Formats: sequence, C-alpha cells, structure tokens
Amino acid sequence: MKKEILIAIIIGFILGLVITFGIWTANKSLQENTKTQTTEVNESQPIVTETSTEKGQISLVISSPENNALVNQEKIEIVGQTAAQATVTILYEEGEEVFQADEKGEFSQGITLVGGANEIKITAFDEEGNEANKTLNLVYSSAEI
Amino acid sequence: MKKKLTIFTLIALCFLLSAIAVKAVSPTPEATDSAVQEIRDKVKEIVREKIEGAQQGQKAGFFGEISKITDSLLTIQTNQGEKQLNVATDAAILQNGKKATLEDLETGSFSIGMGYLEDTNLLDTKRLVVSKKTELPVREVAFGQVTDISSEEEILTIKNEKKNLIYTIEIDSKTVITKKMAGKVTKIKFADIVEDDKLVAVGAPSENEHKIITAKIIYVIPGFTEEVSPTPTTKATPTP
Repeated sequence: MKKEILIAIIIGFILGLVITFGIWTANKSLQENTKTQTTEVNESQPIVTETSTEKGQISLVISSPENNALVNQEKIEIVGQTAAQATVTILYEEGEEVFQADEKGEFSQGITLVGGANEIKITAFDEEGNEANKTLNLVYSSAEI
Repeated sequence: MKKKLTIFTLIALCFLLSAIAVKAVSPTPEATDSAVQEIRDKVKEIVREKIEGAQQGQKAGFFGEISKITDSLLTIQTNQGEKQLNVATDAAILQNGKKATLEDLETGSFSIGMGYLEDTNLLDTKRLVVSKKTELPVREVAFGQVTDISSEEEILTIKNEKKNLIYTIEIDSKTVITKKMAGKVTKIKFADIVEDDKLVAVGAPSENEHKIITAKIIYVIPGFTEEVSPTPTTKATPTP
C-alpha cells in the first residue's frame, strides 16, 4: 500500500510539473507576442515628453517664462536647465546671447522683447556637440486686456 | 484497485491544484507591466489635467497667419501648429493701427491674439492686432571644432562631428569673439583661436559646398585646448 502511495505521489508530482511547465511556456510565448505588439505601437506612435532626450540630444527645460505667455514687461529673464556647463544660445528679435550654464546646468539670461510677437529660439550644446532646441513664443503688450 | 485509483487521482489532483494556485499567486511580468503602465497613465492624466487646469484662465498670446475665419472663431497657423482664437464680442480689434471688425479680417493676414487660455490651443481673445509681420534677418547657430584657420582672410573652418557638417566661419570687424577665462567671459582676438578649439558661432548663413556663416558672435568653449592668454580689454562683455 505504501509503495502504491509513493508511486502515486511521484506520478502526481511529475504530472503537476508537466502542467506547470505547460502554463509557463504558454505565458512566455504570450508575453513575447505582447512585447512585439508594444514595440510596433511604440514605433508608430512615439511618446514625446518635454524632458525626453534622444540619442545625440540633451535635455533643455525652460521654466520661465511659459510658452505663449503674454507679458507686459520689455525686459524678461529666460530661466531654464540643461546639461551641466552646456553652451546656451538665445536668438531673439533684437539680438543674440551666448553663455554657459552652471555646474548644475541652470541658467538665467535677460533679454529685451519687442512690442507684439516675439519668437525666441534657445539652443544648448554640450561639450560633445549634442544639442537641444526650444522655441518660445511670447507676446509683449502693455495694453490692458 | 478502485481505492488505489482514487488515491492516485486525489494526489494528482492535489498537485495540479497546487500548481495552478502557485501560478495564480505569482505575479506575472505582464500583470506587473500592465499595472505599472496603468499607474503611469493615471499619473500622466492627473499631471496633464493639473497643468491644463493651472493654465486655464491664464493670460496668453498666440500669433500667426490667419488660415480660417468662421464667425467669431479664427484659426491661425503658428510655428507650433494650429491655434484658435475665439474673438469675444467686446474684443478690441486693430488692423494696421486702426479699429476694425471681424468682417474686415482676411485669411493670410498676420495676427496677434491676446486673452485668456481656454485650453492649450484655444484662446478667449480680448485683443486682436492684425499687422504686417516683421521680417527679421535669418540667423544660424553652429557648433564645431576648429579644423583650419586662415589668418589672412580671417576665416575659420569648423566641423560638427555629430551632424557631419563643415562650416566656414567668416569674421568681420563687427564680430565679437569671447571666451570664458577664470570664471569671466572675456573678449579675445581672432589670433587667440587655435586649432581644435570648440566654439559656437552665431551669424547670417549662406551656402556653397559648405555652410558659410558670417559670424556676429563667436564663443570659444573653454576647457578643450590649452587656455590662451586673454587679450587685455577694459570691459568684460558677455555678449553684445
């Protein structure tokens, strides 16, 4: 009797292992399928975020002023963050600025706006030549709205 | 024999159930992935809602060419895509400095809408200014490492390895050349630029077989070659 129980346990154990292996294999192949589908979706619809950096690019975040802001001051500060010690250029309607971000990558640079539409192009380069670009649209008006 | 079969079936069933139970309890990678994705999506949604909420009602301005006029709704083509201006009935409309109405507006005109954000692409417009767009000189920014210097003609050749581009940088009497030395941005002379210096040049672009930039500003990036002695200047000027 004991011998029979032992055989039954062994057979049952093997059967259990076979079933577990079957489930594991099925899950694995399903997972691979899902991954392939996800990759296809990601390639067709890339998610772009403000701080995402691609190969050959560095991060550039402008914290102030906000894009499309309506400002009532002629002189404003462009505040942002990029790679540490990156060289930053700002092209604005009336001039250009070239300077270096600090050790943390932070920068703040004053510029002068013209009345009405102002398209401000900001570019940052790290020492390897990787770059990041941002365009700020600002409207300067002293009129009350 | 029946008893043996029953015992065997029961034990086999027990192992089968335990195998399924273990499988059910173990977190599958896909379950974890989907849960993480779900949380990410929720966080993104909340952040987007918060940003939109914070932006809503903020003073803002859009500018671009009018591409469509529908009643009081103007569609303008900006450098950041299409935006809409919902022109309020009490909005001040100015065309070339004179008061105007919505009926006076034409597609293709450059307009600046000022008002309050309704959402990212829609502005509750309180003031609309239609005028000619100011054409500004085209400028280009170039980064590269100096590969050749023509001292007589005052021309630099720089190469941007990342873009595999070669720029010819022309210098004239108005070009301001600076370099950060000992923590200060200092004016330097053309002769102080040496091969292998890395620099950023800003100026007017033109093109032959290479890109040519007539530099307005050249900023020599410090720390790549041996520092040259600064040319004495009375005033340290960051940029003009």
